[in-house]
Amino acid sequence: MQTDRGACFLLIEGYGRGKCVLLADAPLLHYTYLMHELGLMTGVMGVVTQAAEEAGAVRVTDISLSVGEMTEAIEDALVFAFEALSEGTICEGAALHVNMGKPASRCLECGAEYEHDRFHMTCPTCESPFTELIAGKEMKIDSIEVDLPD
Amino acid sequence: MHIDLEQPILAKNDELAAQNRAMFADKGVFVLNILASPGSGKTSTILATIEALRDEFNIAVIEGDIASSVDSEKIKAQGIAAVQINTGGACHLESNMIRRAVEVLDLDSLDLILLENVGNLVCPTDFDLGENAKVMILSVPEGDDKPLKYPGVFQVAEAVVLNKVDTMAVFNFNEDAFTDAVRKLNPRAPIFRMSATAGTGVDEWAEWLAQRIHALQRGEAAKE
Repeated sequence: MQTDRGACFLLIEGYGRGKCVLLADAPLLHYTYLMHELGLMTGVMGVVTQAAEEAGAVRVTDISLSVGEMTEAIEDALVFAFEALSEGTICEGAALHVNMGKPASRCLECGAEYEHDRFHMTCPTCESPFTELIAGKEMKIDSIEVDLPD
Repeated sequence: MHIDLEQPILAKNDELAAQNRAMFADKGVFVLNILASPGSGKTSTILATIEALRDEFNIAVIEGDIASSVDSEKIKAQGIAAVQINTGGACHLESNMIRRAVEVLDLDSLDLILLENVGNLVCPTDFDLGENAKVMILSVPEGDDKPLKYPGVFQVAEAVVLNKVDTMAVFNFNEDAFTDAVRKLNPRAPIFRMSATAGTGVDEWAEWLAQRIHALQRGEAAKE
Protein backbone atom coordinates (compact mmCIF):
# COMPACT_ATOMS: atom_id res chain seq x y z
CA MET A 1 0.00 0.00 0.00
CA GLN A 2 2.84 2.35 0.85
CA THR A 3 4.36 1.73 -2.58
CA ASP A 4 1.05 2.49 -4.26
CA ARG A 5 0.74 5.79 -2.45
CA GLY A 6 4.26 6.70 -3.49
CA ALA A 7 3.43 5.95 -7.11
CA CYS A 8 0.30 8.08 -6.95
CA PHE A 9 2.26 11.02 -5.60
CA LEU A 10 4.70 10.75 -8.46
CA LEU A 11 1.97 10.78 -11.11
CA ILE A 12 0.50 14.04 -9.92
CA GLU A 13 3.90 15.67 -9.50
CA GLY A 14 4.70 14.69 -13.06
CA TYR A 15 2.21 17.28 -14.22
CA GLY A 16 4.23 20.04 -12.65
CA ARG A 17 1.64 21.45 -10.28
CA GLY A 18 4.28 21.64 -7.57
CA LYS A 19 2.13 20.03 -4.91
CA CYS A 20 1.29 16.56 -3.74
CA VAL A 21 -2.23 15.17 -3.73
CA LEU A 22 -2.76 12.02 -1.73
CA LEU A 23 -4.75 9.60 -3.84
CA ALA A 24 -4.79 6.69 -1.40
CA ASP A 25 -8.57 6.95 -1.06
CA ALA A 26 -9.12 6.58 -4.80
CA PRO A 27 -11.10 3.48 -5.73
CA LEU A 28 -9.11 0.92 -7.67
CA LEU A 29 -10.84 1.79 -10.95
CA HIS A 30 -9.60 5.35 -10.70
CA TYR A 31 -6.12 4.26 -9.82
CA THR A 32 -5.91 2.01 -12.86
CA TYR A 33 -7.10 4.61 -15.34
CA LEU A 34 -6.13 7.84 -13.67
CA MET A 35 -2.93 8.52 -15.60
CA HIS A 36 -4.83 8.72 -18.89
CA GLU A 37 -7.48 11.10 -17.63
CA LEU A 38 -4.89 13.24 -15.83
CA GLY A 39 -3.19 13.87 -19.16
CA LEU A 40 -6.46 14.86 -20.80
CA MET A 41 -7.62 17.05 -17.91
CA THR A 42 -4.26 18.84 -17.83
CA GLY A 43 -5.08 19.88 -21.41
CA VAL A 44 -8.57 21.01 -20.37
CA MET A 45 -7.21 23.07 -17.46
CA GLY A 46 -4.76 24.87 -19.75
CA VAL A 47 -7.37 25.89 -22.34
CA VAL A 48 -10.07 26.80 -19.78
CA THR A 49 -7.75 28.81 -17.53
CA GLN A 50 -6.48 30.86 -20.47
CA ALA A 51 -10.00 31.55 -21.79
CA ALA A 52 -11.28 32.52 -18.33
CA GLU A 53 -8.36 34.85 -17.66
CA GLU A 54 -8.72 36.51 -21.07
CA ALA A 55 -12.40 37.17 -20.26
CA GLY A 56 -11.37 38.72 -16.93
CA ALA A 57 -13.28 36.07 -14.97
CA VAL A 58 -12.84 35.52 -11.25
CA ARG A 59 -14.25 32.00 -11.22
CA VAL A 60 -15.19 29.19 -13.60
CA THR A 61 -18.56 27.67 -12.62
CA ASP A 62 -19.20 25.12 -15.41
CA ILE A 63 -17.11 23.26 -18.00
CA SER A 64 -18.75 21.25 -20.82
CA LEU A 65 -16.72 18.60 -22.66
CA SER A 66 -17.47 16.19 -25.50
CA VAL A 67 -15.45 13.00 -25.26
CA GLY A 68 -15.81 10.03 -27.61
CA GLU A 69 -15.90 6.55 -26.12
CA MET A 70 -13.10 5.43 -28.47
CA THR A 71 -10.65 7.62 -26.51
CA GLU A 72 -10.96 5.04 -23.70
CA ALA A 73 -11.45 7.91 -21.23
CA ILE A 74 -13.84 7.18 -18.37
CA GLU A 75 -16.24 9.84 -17.15
CA ASP A 76 -15.80 9.18 -13.41
CA ALA A 77 -12.02 9.28 -13.76
CA LEU A 78 -12.19 12.56 -15.74
CA VAL A 79 -14.19 14.12 -12.88
CA PHE A 80 -11.78 12.70 -10.32
CA ALA A 81 -8.72 14.00 -12.20
CA PHE A 82 -10.39 17.41 -12.60
CA GLU A 83 -11.05 17.68 -8.86
CA ALA A 84 -7.43 16.85 -8.08
CA LEU A 85 -5.98 19.27 -10.65
CA SER A 86 -8.38 22.20 -10.11
CA GLU A 87 -7.85 22.52 -6.35
CA GLY A 88 -6.61 26.02 -5.56
CA THR A 89 -7.15 27.28 -9.12
CA ILE A 90 -9.75 29.51 -10.82
CA CYS A 91 -11.56 26.27 -11.77
CA GLU A 92 -11.96 24.89 -8.25
CA GLY A 93 -15.55 23.90 -7.54
CA ALA A 94 -16.68 24.16 -11.18
CA ALA A 95 -19.24 21.61 -12.38
CA LEU A 96 -17.78 19.34 -15.06
CA HIS A 97 -20.31 18.18 -17.68
CA VAL A 98 -18.98 15.32 -19.79
CA ASN A 99 -20.95 14.39 -22.90
CA MET A 100 -19.72 10.90 -23.82
CA GLY A 101 -20.08 10.37 -27.61
CA LYS A 102 -21.04 7.03 -29.18
CA PRO A 103 -18.66 5.66 -31.81
CA ALA A 104 -19.88 5.56 -35.42
CA SER A 105 -18.28 4.29 -38.63
CA ARG A 106 -18.75 4.45 -42.39
CA CYS A 107 -18.38 1.31 -44.51
CA LEU A 108 -15.78 1.81 -47.25
CA GLU A 109 -17.48 -0.78 -49.47
CA CYS A 110 -21.23 -0.12 -49.27
CA GLY A 111 -21.19 3.37 -47.73
CA ALA A 112 -23.47 2.54 -44.78
CA GLU A 113 -23.07 4.72 -41.67
CA TYR A 114 -23.87 3.21 -38.29
CA GLU A 115 -23.24 3.48 -34.52
CA HIS A 116 -21.42 0.65 -32.72
CA ASP A 117 -19.63 -0.17 -29.47
CA ARG A 118 -15.87 0.14 -28.88
CA PHE A 119 -15.03 -3.27 -30.34
CA HIS A 120 -17.37 -4.25 -33.18
CA MET A 121 -16.93 -2.04 -36.23
CA THR A 122 -17.80 -4.55 -38.94
CA CYS A 123 -20.46 -3.17 -41.31
CA PRO A 124 -23.90 -4.43 -40.21
CA THR A 125 -25.24 -4.12 -43.79
CA CYS A 126 -22.62 -5.93 -45.90
CA GLU A 127 -20.36 -7.37 -43.14
CA SER A 128 -17.23 -5.75 -44.62
CA PRO A 129 -14.36 -5.24 -42.14
CA PHE A 130 -13.14 -2.25 -44.19
CA THR A 131 -14.62 0.71 -42.35
CA GLU A 132 -13.52 4.11 -41.15
CA LEU A 133 -14.35 5.74 -37.86
CA ILE A 134 -16.40 8.92 -38.27
CA ALA A 135 -17.19 9.59 -34.58
CA GLY A 136 -15.99 8.45 -31.19
CA LYS A 137 -12.45 9.89 -31.00
CA GLU A 138 -13.49 13.47 -30.25
CA MET A 139 -11.97 15.28 -27.27
CA LYS A 140 -13.37 18.79 -27.28
CA ILE A 141 -14.07 21.57 -24.81
CA ASP A 142 -17.49 22.88 -25.88
CA SER A 143 -18.01 25.83 -23.57
CA ILE A 144 -17.51 27.25 -20.09
CA GLU A 145 -19.55 29.44 -17.73
CA VAL A 146 -17.62 32.03 -15.73
CA ASP A 147 -18.32 34.64 -13.05
CA LEU A 148 -17.08 38.15 -13.81
CA PRO A 149 -16.07 40.60 -11.03
CA ASP A 150 -19.01 42.63 -9.63
CA MET B 1 -21.05 34.64 -18.66
CA HIS B 2 -21.14 31.88 -21.26
CA ILE B 3 -18.01 31.36 -23.40
CA ASP B 4 -18.11 29.06 -26.44
CA LEU B 5 -14.73 27.40 -26.88
CA GLU B 6 -15.13 24.50 -29.36
CA GLN B 7 -11.45 23.70 -28.83
CA PRO B 8 -9.71 20.32 -28.90
CA ILE B 9 -8.69 19.24 -25.39
CA LEU B 10 -5.19 18.54 -26.60
CA ALA B 11 -5.02 21.69 -28.75
CA LYS B 12 -1.60 22.71 -27.45
CA ASN B 13 -0.10 19.26 -28.01
CA ASP B 14 -1.67 19.02 -31.48
CA GLU B 15 -0.32 22.44 -32.48
CA LEU B 16 3.24 21.56 -31.42
CA ALA B 17 2.90 18.16 -33.12
CA ALA B 18 1.96 19.89 -36.38
CA GLN B 19 5.09 22.06 -36.04
CA ASN B 20 7.21 18.94 -35.43
CA ARG B 21 5.66 17.24 -38.48
CA ALA B 22 6.45 20.25 -40.70
CA MET B 23 10.03 20.33 -39.40
CA PHE B 24 10.53 16.58 -40.05
CA ALA B 25 9.03 16.90 -43.54
CA ASP B 26 11.30 19.85 -44.30
CA LYS B 27 14.35 17.78 -43.30
CA GLY B 28 13.11 14.61 -45.05
CA VAL B 29 13.28 12.55 -41.84
CA PHE B 30 10.89 9.61 -41.32
CA VAL B 31 9.69 9.44 -37.69
CA LEU B 32 8.25 6.24 -36.24
CA ASN B 33 6.29 6.31 -32.93
CA ILE B 34 6.57 2.91 -31.23
CA LEU B 35 3.82 1.98 -28.74
CA ALA B 36 3.88 -1.09 -26.50
CA SER B 37 3.71 -2.39 -22.94
CA PRO B 38 6.69 -2.45 -20.57
CA GLY B 39 8.71 -5.59 -21.24
CA SER B 40 7.27 -6.27 -24.71
CA GLY B 41 10.67 -5.88 -26.34
CA LYS B 42 10.57 -2.29 -27.65
CA THR B 43 14.27 -1.71 -27.12
CA SER B 44 15.23 -5.16 -28.50
CA THR B 45 13.07 -4.50 -31.57
CA ILE B 46 14.73 -1.10 -32.02
CA LEU B 47 18.19 -2.68 -31.75
CA ALA B 48 17.26 -5.36 -34.32
CA THR B 49 15.81 -2.67 -36.62
CA ILE B 50 18.99 -0.62 -36.35
CA GLU B 51 21.08 -3.67 -37.24
CA ALA B 52 18.91 -4.38 -40.30
CA LEU B 53 18.75 -0.80 -41.62
CA ARG B 54 21.91 0.99 -40.48
CA ASP B 55 23.83 0.34 -43.71
CA GLU B 56 21.13 2.06 -45.74
CA PHE B 57 19.83 4.82 -43.45
CA ASN B 58 21.18 7.24 -40.85
CA ILE B 59 19.22 6.49 -37.70
CA ALA B 60 18.68 8.16 -34.30
CA VAL B 61 16.57 7.03 -31.36
CA ILE B 62 14.54 9.01 -28.83
CA GLU B 63 13.80 6.99 -25.69
CA GLY B 64 10.85 7.85 -23.44
CA ASP B 65 10.85 6.44 -19.92
CA ILE B 66 9.49 7.59 -16.59
CA ALA B 67 13.04 7.35 -15.22
CA SER B 68 16.56 6.08 -16.01
CA SER B 69 18.81 6.10 -19.07
CA VAL B 70 19.11 2.31 -19.30
CA ASP B 71 17.59 2.12 -22.78
CA SER B 72 19.48 5.01 -24.38
CA GLU B 73 22.78 3.57 -23.08
CA LYS B 74 22.03 0.33 -24.97
CA ILE B 75 21.41 2.29 -28.18
CA LYS B 76 24.52 4.45 -27.76
CA ALA B 77 26.57 1.29 -27.24
CA GLN B 78 25.70 0.43 -30.86
CA GLY B 79 27.15 3.74 -32.07
CA ILE B 80 23.74 5.28 -32.76
CA ALA B 81 22.68 8.74 -31.53
CA ALA B 82 20.18 8.40 -28.69
CA VAL B 83 18.31 11.00 -26.64
CA GLN B 84 16.72 9.97 -23.36
CA ILE B 85 13.54 11.71 -22.20
CA ASN B 86 12.57 11.11 -18.57
CA THR B 87 8.91 12.01 -18.22
CA GLY B 88 9.15 12.06 -14.43
CA GLY B 89 5.84 10.29 -13.91
CA ALA B 90 3.92 11.17 -17.07
CA CYS B 91 2.74 7.99 -18.79
CA HIS B 92 3.30 9.08 -22.41
CA LEU B 93 5.49 11.32 -24.56
CA GLU B 94 4.11 14.74 -25.60
CA SER B 95 5.05 16.82 -28.62
CA ASN B 96 6.92 19.49 -26.63
CA MET B 97 9.24 16.77 -25.25
CA ILE B 98 10.03 15.63 -28.80
CA ARG B 99 10.78 19.16 -29.87
CA ARG B 100 13.34 19.56 -27.08
CA ALA B 101 14.84 16.15 -27.79
CA VAL B 102 15.42 16.80 -31.51
CA GLU B 103 17.27 20.03 -30.73
CA VAL B 104 20.32 17.94 -29.90
CA LEU B 105 20.08 15.83 -33.09
CA ASP B 106 21.46 16.79 -36.50
CA LEU B 107 18.25 16.42 -38.54
CA ASP B 108 20.04 17.25 -41.80
CA SER B 109 22.06 14.06 -41.58
CA LEU B 110 19.21 11.74 -40.50
CA ASP B 111 16.81 9.51 -42.48
CA LEU B 112 14.98 7.84 -39.62
CA ILE B 113 14.10 8.63 -36.00
CA LEU B 114 12.71 5.81 -33.87
CA LEU B 115 10.64 7.14 -30.94
CA GLU B 116 10.26 4.64 -28.14
CA ASN B 117 7.20 5.80 -26.25
CA VAL B 118 6.64 5.13 -22.54
CA GLY B 119 5.52 1.51 -21.99
CA ASN B 120 1.72 1.85 -21.87
CA LEU B 121 -1.14 0.70 -24.14
CA VAL B 122 -3.58 3.53 -23.33
CA CYS B 123 -2.33 7.12 -23.05
CA PRO B 124 0.24 7.32 -25.88
CA THR B 125 -2.46 6.62 -28.49
CA ASP B 126 -4.05 10.05 -27.95
CA PHE B 127 -0.92 12.18 -28.11
CA ASP B 128 0.25 13.10 -31.62
CA LEU B 129 4.01 13.70 -31.63
CA GLY B 130 4.31 14.73 -35.29
CA GLU B 131 5.35 11.22 -36.38
CA ASN B 132 4.86 9.71 -39.87
CA ALA B 133 3.49 6.45 -38.49
CA LYS B 134 2.57 4.73 -35.25
CA VAL B 135 3.35 1.03 -34.86
CA MET B 136 2.59 -1.19 -31.90
CA ILE B 137 4.47 -4.17 -30.52
CA LEU B 138 2.69 -6.93 -28.62
CA SER B 139 4.74 -9.73 -27.11
CA VAL B 140 3.40 -13.26 -26.86
CA PRO B 141 3.63 -13.50 -23.03
CA GLU B 142 1.15 -10.59 -22.73
CA GLY B 143 -1.59 -12.85 -24.13
CA ASP B 144 -3.74 -13.09 -27.26
CA ASP B 145 -6.63 -11.17 -25.63
CA LYS B 146 -4.91 -7.75 -25.61
CA PRO B 147 -6.72 -6.41 -28.72
CA LEU B 148 -9.97 -6.96 -26.84
CA LYS B 149 -8.72 -5.11 -23.77
CA TYR B 150 -6.88 -2.22 -25.44
CA PRO B 151 -8.63 -1.66 -28.79
CA GLY B 152 -7.42 1.93 -29.22
CA VAL B 153 -3.75 1.17 -29.68
CA PHE B 154 -4.47 -1.58 -32.24
CA GLN B 155 -6.62 0.86 -34.24
CA VAL B 156 -4.07 3.66 -34.51
CA ALA B 157 -1.18 1.34 -35.46
CA GLU B 158 -0.16 1.17 -39.13
CA ALA B 159 1.64 -2.10 -38.42
CA VAL B 160 1.60 -4.60 -35.56
CA VAL B 161 4.72 -6.47 -34.50
CA LEU B 162 4.01 -9.73 -32.68
CA ASN B 163 7.25 -10.20 -30.74
CA LYS B 164 8.70 -13.20 -28.86
CA VAL B 165 6.96 -15.68 -31.22
CA ASP B 166 9.51 -18.29 -30.12
CA THR B 167 7.68 -18.49 -26.76
CA MET B 168 4.23 -19.20 -28.24
CA ALA B 169 3.99 -22.82 -27.08
CA VAL B 170 5.02 -21.95 -23.50
CA PHE B 171 2.35 -19.26 -23.13
CA ASN B 172 -0.45 -21.12 -24.91
CA PHE B 173 -0.92 -18.13 -27.24
CA ASN B 174 -3.83 -18.53 -29.66
CA GLU B 175 -2.49 -16.82 -32.77
CA ASP B 176 -5.70 -17.27 -34.79
CA ALA B 177 -7.75 -15.58 -32.07
CA PHE B 178 -5.18 -12.76 -31.89
CA THR B 179 -5.10 -12.22 -35.67
CA ASP B 180 -8.88 -12.31 -35.86
CA ALA B 181 -9.24 -9.71 -33.09
CA VAL B 182 -6.65 -7.40 -34.70
CA ARG B 183 -8.31 -7.75 -38.12
CA LYS B 184 -11.68 -6.69 -36.71
CA LEU B 185 -10.17 -3.54 -35.22
CA ASN B 186 -7.75 -2.77 -38.03
CA PRO B 187 -8.15 -4.73 -41.27
CA ARG B 188 -5.25 -3.03 -43.09
CA ALA B 189 -2.31 -3.20 -40.68
CA PRO B 190 0.23 -5.92 -41.50
CA ILE B 191 1.15 -8.21 -38.59
CA PHE B 192 4.86 -9.07 -38.42
CA ARG B 193 5.77 -12.25 -36.52
CA MET B 194 9.12 -11.64 -34.91
CA SER B 195 11.60 -12.63 -32.28
CA ALA B 196 13.80 -9.57 -32.00
CA THR B 197 16.47 -11.24 -29.87
CA ALA B 198 16.62 -14.41 -32.01
CA GLY B 199 16.50 -12.38 -35.23
CA THR B 200 13.41 -14.20 -36.55
CA GLY B 201 11.16 -12.20 -38.88
CA VAL B 202 13.21 -9.00 -38.58
CA ASP B 203 13.86 -8.81 -42.34
CA GLU B 204 10.15 -8.61 -43.29
CA TRP B 205 9.53 -5.88 -40.72
CA ALA B 206 12.65 -3.93 -41.75
CA GLU B 207 11.63 -4.20 -45.43
CA TRP B 208 8.19 -2.71 -44.65
CA LEU B 209 9.81 0.18 -42.79
CA ALA B 210 12.42 0.72 -45.52
CA GLN B 211 9.65 0.96 -48.12
CA ARG B 212 7.88 3.62 -46.04
CA ILE B 213 11.10 5.63 -45.76
CA HIS B 214 11.78 5.30 -49.51
CA ALA B 215 8.24 6.50 -50.26
CA LEU B 216 8.85 9.60 -48.12
CA GLN B 217 12.21 10.23 -49.77
CA ARG B 218 10.70 9.86 -53.27
CA GLY B 219 8.02 12.37 -52.26
CA GLU B 220 10.75 14.76 -51.15
CA ALA B 221 12.66 14.29 -54.39
CA ALA B 222 9.50 14.97 -56.43
CA LYS B 223 9.01 18.29 -54.65
CA GLU B 224 12.53 19.53 -55.30
